[in-house]
Amino acid sequence: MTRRIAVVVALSDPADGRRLAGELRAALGDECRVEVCEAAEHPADRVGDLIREGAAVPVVAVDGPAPEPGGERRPRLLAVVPDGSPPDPRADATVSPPFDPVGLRGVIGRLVTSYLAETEPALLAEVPGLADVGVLVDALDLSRDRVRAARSELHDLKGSFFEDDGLSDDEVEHRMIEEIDRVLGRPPRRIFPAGSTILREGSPVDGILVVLRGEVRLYRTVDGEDLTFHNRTAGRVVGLLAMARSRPAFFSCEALTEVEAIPLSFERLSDALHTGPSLTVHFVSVLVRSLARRNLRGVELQVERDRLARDLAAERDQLQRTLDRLEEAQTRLIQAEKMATLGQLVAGIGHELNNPVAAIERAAGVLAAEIPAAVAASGDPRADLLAGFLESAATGGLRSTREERRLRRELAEALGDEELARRLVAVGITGEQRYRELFRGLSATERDDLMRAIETHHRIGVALHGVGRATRRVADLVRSLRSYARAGRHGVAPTDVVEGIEEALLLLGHALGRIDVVREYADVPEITAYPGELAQVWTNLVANAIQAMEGEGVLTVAVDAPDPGHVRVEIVDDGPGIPPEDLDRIFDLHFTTKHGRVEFGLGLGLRIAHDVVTRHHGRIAVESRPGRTAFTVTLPVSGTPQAAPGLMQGEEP
Amino acid sequence: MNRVVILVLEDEPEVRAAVLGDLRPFEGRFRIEAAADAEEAEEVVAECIDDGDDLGLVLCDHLLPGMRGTDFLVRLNHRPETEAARKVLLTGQAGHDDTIRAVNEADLDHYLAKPWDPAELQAVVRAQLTDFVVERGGELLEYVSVLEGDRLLEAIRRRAWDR
Repeated sequence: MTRRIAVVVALSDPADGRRLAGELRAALGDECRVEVCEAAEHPADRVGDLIREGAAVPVVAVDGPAPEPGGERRPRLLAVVPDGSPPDPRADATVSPPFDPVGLRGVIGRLVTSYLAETEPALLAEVPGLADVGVLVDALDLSRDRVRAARSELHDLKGSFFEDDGLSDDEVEHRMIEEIDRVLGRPPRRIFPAGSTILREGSPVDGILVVLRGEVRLYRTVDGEDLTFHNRTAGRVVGLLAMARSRPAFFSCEALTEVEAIPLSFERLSDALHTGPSLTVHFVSVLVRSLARRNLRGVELQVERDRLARDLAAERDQLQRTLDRLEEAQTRLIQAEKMATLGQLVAGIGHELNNPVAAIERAAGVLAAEIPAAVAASGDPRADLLAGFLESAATGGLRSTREERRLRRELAEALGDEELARRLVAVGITGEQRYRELFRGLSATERDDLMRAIETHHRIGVALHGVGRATRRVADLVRSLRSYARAGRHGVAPTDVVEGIEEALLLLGHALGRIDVVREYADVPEITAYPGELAQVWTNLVANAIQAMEGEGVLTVAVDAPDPGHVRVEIVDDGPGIPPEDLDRIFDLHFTTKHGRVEFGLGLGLRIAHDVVTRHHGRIAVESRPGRTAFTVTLPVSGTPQAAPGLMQGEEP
Repeated sequence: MNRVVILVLEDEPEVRAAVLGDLRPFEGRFRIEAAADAEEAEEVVAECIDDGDDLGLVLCDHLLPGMRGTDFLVRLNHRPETEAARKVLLTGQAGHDDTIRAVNEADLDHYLAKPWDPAELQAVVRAQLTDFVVERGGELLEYVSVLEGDRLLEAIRRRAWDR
């Protein structure tokens, strides 16, 4: 088997070479091969060939200029010099003839051990006798140092990247700056005054800026507004994103305080990173930390934004609820105000109308009494007759238009004169017999004269009747207005419910039209109440029923005592009924003028009725279907009703 | 006989009596009828048509039991026999909408507010009836003393000329 370890002898004289080879073989035995270069052969080529063949060439013996062997594994040089010559400074060892085998073996052994320990320590096992222990120990120490150094370096690297070195950001940044100064020989600083713009968004970036002192703000301009993204989170290095993405500046950068910084072009930075590997470590560490911090800031911003959005939504809901409540309150206030205003208006009108109405009422009474007397005393032979026509017109009331037409037709047929019949019926002469009695034996002129006199007196009677009726109505209306205005002022009194209802029916008689009223009154005790207020309840309920019936139908009013302690009133109409959807709100305030006719109290009627009944500790209920709507009021016989609040403020003089 | 009818439609008896009193100057020359509600007014109109008389003027309150005055006027306006009648609303309470409807749909000719001035009422009735009889054609001379004589004479002259 060919030994893998070869010693090459390359002396200038081949004879010397062969001699030395013989000496070496003798000294080394079969542990190494010894190859001799021929004269024409370059020792480096021979070493190259041997290495390619798989051999290790630890030693080349030379006596001339040192060969330049290729490859990484430079063999140890053994210089062969004449005895007494100075050792070759480039050689690893020197030998001189005459050679002694022990000496040669020692020199070769040290060189081989040194070489193999450095390059192929495994091969040392093939030359156990040759290996030099001292060299081996030195080599081992050296390796150990290297391992230690490598470990330390690895540790530093890991620490820098993964922050388990316990260094603060400031310390890491400080180290980086130290490294920059060391590697680049303290590059020049630049000072930016507070408020100055260091970098503008979108402008080209050709380097980074390492901030030594002061604070910067990173912002972007969005829709004309500056949005700050980083303040404290900006970090020491400005231009990071531009560097990472090779793009124009992503942020604008403003100096918040005076800022001292080192500008570094990308070129300069690149050079520095290549020159100082430890700068790379610190720089990368600073970059990673800066970007991590910025990223964290981004996450925080997102979380913050979500929280704000939730808060905003909650606040908006809260505001909406508040607004709804305010609107509701406002509606109530407006309605209360309307009622108060209406109350004052009613009281005021009632008061103002009181005296003129009283005067008219008196005057109408005087006219009704005195005019017939004046006619009777006129001395006219027909005085009694004419006074009779006047009085019957003044007291008798008016016939319906339908009845009048019927009578007119009958008389026209009897008399054969339609116009005459019309005039006669108009003054109340409805029978042919009566006509003949009155006008018998008169000339045409006399007849005409009498007819005109009768018509005149009839008209006076009708006018008196109208004045009387109209005045009474106005007076009733004024009285009812005043009773609304003074509601609650009369004080509590024993109150006859039926009487109150009858008054209401009387007051509303003009509105009844063709409505039939059915009364079902049982004997009931008087109750303790405010009579004026209860009157409003009956008026409102009856008016409501009348309105629902639209001029015809049956209105049923029933009064009874369901038990000795209570009186119950039921007011039933046969109108179209109240839509179910309105039934719940029927006692709510709604102010309506119903067909343009302003009806005092009635627009608010059901609400007022409800309030009055409640203050009397009673109950009011409604049931309705098409054809039957029933309001039922139940009141305690002896209670302690509460007075109305000061809504109607009309003050009696 | 072909008389011209004045119809008063008013539900309150005292008011009706007052209106009829104010129409006395037209008695004799015109047939004056009264009704208390729209239903009765329909009967009266039917009777007049049966008698061969022409409905010339309706004086109508706005609020009536049952049907509103405005609705009654709109109905009259849709029937050929009564379409030509002059329509006057006499009311104290017509709302804005009702008035607009009366003017637009019932072809309302005049609007009188309560309380009314008798002289004004008579002037309105006279003017409206003058329009009616001139448009209707037929004999005009008999109305010269009760209606607007000048306009009637002018109409008579024009007719003679046209003939």
